[in-house]
Amino acid sequence: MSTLLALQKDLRQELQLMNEFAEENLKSYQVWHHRLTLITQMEPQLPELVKEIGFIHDSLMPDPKNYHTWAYLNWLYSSFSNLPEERGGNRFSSQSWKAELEWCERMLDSDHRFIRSPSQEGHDWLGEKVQLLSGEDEAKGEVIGRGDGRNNSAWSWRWYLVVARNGAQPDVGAELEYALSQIRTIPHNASAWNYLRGIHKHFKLPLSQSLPAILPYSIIPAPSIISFIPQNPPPVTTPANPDTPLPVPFAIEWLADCKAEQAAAAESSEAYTDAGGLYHELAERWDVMRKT
Amino acid sequence: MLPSSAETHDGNRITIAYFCLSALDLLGALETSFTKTERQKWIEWVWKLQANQGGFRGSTFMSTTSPQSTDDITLGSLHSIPQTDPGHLPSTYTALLVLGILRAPAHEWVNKLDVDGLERFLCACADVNGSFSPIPVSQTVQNSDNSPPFQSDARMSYCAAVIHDFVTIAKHPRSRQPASYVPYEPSTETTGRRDVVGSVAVATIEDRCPDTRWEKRTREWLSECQTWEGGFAQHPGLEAQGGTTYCIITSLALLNGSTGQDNWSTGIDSVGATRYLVARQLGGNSDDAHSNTDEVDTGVGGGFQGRPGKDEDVCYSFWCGAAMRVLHGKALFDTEANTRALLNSQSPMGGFGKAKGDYPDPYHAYLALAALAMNEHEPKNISFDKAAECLETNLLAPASTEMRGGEQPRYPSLNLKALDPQWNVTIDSRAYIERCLGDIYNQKYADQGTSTPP
Repeated sequence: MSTLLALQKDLRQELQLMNEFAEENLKSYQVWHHRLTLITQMEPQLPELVKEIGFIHDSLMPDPKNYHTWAYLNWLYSSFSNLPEERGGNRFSSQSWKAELEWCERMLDSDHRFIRSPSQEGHDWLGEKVQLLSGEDEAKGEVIGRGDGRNNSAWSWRWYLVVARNGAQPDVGAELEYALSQIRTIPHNASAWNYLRGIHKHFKLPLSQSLPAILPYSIIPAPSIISFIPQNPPPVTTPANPDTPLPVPFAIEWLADCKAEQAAAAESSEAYTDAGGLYHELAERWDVMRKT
Repeated sequence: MLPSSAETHDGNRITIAYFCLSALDLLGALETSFTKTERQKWIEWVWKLQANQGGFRGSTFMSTTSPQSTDDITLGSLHSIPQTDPGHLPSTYTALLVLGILRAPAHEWVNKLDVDGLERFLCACADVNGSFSPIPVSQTVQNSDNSPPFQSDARMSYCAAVIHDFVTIAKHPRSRQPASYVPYEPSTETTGRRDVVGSVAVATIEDRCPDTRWEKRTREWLSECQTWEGGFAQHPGLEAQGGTTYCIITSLALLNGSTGQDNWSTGIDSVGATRYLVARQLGGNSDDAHSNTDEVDTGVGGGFQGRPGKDEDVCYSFWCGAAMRVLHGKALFDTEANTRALLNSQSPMGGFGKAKGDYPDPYHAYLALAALAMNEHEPKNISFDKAAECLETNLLAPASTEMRGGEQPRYPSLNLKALDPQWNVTIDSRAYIERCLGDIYNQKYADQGTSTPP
């Protein structure tokens, strides 16, 4: 490797040669580490990084939850957005981050189809090659991947892009609404519920703030929880799909945690009792595997 | 000779050996299946993997020179044997466990194990941010932002934490507190610098270990791996996963010296971690891997997934189950359903693959057995720190009918040995390793004033 790196002119060729090898060995850390080493030594500017990100995006199409590939994507953005000034500084613009978030949203859109049109070349990173087509166009192209609202890796990537990365300026309200919209689409989606909970916890928001939106997914009678619905709540929504099995255990857990939260704040033994009753309900009927 | 499907793992032979031998240890089949001579040959092979600068390599392949016989292996001769390949952190962890599983004689531990080299090797793998590299950082290629190598992750930290435990027992057995930092002294064969490539700046050991206690940095780094889900990721910023959650929880417990007694978990959100782990057991709720649908999983379930939205994988019954035991001293999940699910995942040809119907492999077979062993020997809220005492007081007897609330288990006893969830080896073997490391202390360090770290 050291010899190869000393021959700087061959790095790009080696990276190109690595493409097929990487595609055949997506779950090998050695492969991604080798690629990482090459691109590090290339000291790439944005166009080359765009190409590499496109390669990563394409690699995720056949295996969209591949931990190794997501780790490399994370490394690429983290590394080249945090370079010291003497090494050229941050490579990514706000437009770069916006485009990546849009790609991530397509990954989480269960109705989205990633289409490769026979006549198109390049990568999907800026929507150049892979885009949502319909009707005749879709029939001509090859479906190389599908969005998936349950792709927890994509949810984690969203968290990084919106909340965790250096320079992120999260719109908390928008994130709450995004998670709730995903819950409306797939009410039993663990990732969406966890993301909603994560936003509440990270930004220290009381769980009761989102309670009105999750009520439709619970069959717990309303009178027992009316007392801690915040004033001027947003309109109560209903599950998009009338065939959704109800209640959603995550919603009952949310209710129980709201009660516990209220009990802790008010030191109310009654609220603790209510929370205990809800946990019991959950354990005995709706999530029996976690009864222990 | 490895089967063709495992050829790519030729550099990790010792880890494959660990999975196979530890599985046989759990089954109590080591002594009945193999002769003493065979076991002694394997022990000799493991000693040959010891690198002359400390630690163990994964295989003898790619080694330019190796000792001609085990008679050559003494602490003095090791340093005169030129080798181009350094120790490897996971291989060091598994090699030491294999020596214990095979009951390498105590005098060999005393005479052949280079504990000081092991400690130097450990420090050489420690990076500036608290993570660990699988090989000495000086022999890796530096990233453009001076960040640690790609594979400096939670798995390596776990291996480092267990090795650190070994070193502590061998050198500071009374304290079981973090050992002091031992400066890494580059030999003539190693510059102590990373590869110098083009204009890339190099980091010296002084840059990498500016303070004297890597443990503090490592604990901080491990805590930073906790995610919005409550679980722990391989690096800060990545997705949480059952395996890395185990690695980090156990690393934190080990670095603090014991489990269940101290407040080692106060730096993390243990409630969130518990919720994450418990939620990975499948069945009875909605978290199946049926993408793009809203179907509820109505199956019996009981197995574990590694991440939300993923399918069941037998190895996560160990990773998640062991993490809960390290965190709480007991299982907080339905062990009976888990055992049922695991037994149902067996391959018709024997062993376990990733899931029912998959081709069996040593990794999944061992971890499935390890999970079954923990379920069978559900402990009574004990510390795993004193394994030998546990054996003597029979605290790890299989759960009684009374403990199960009067219900008879719906499957026969598997008669597996009890497993230590921290080191991931049988309690018997852990006790043996502790005894051998204790012998090293008594014969080499007791009179050198190293029992109490500064």
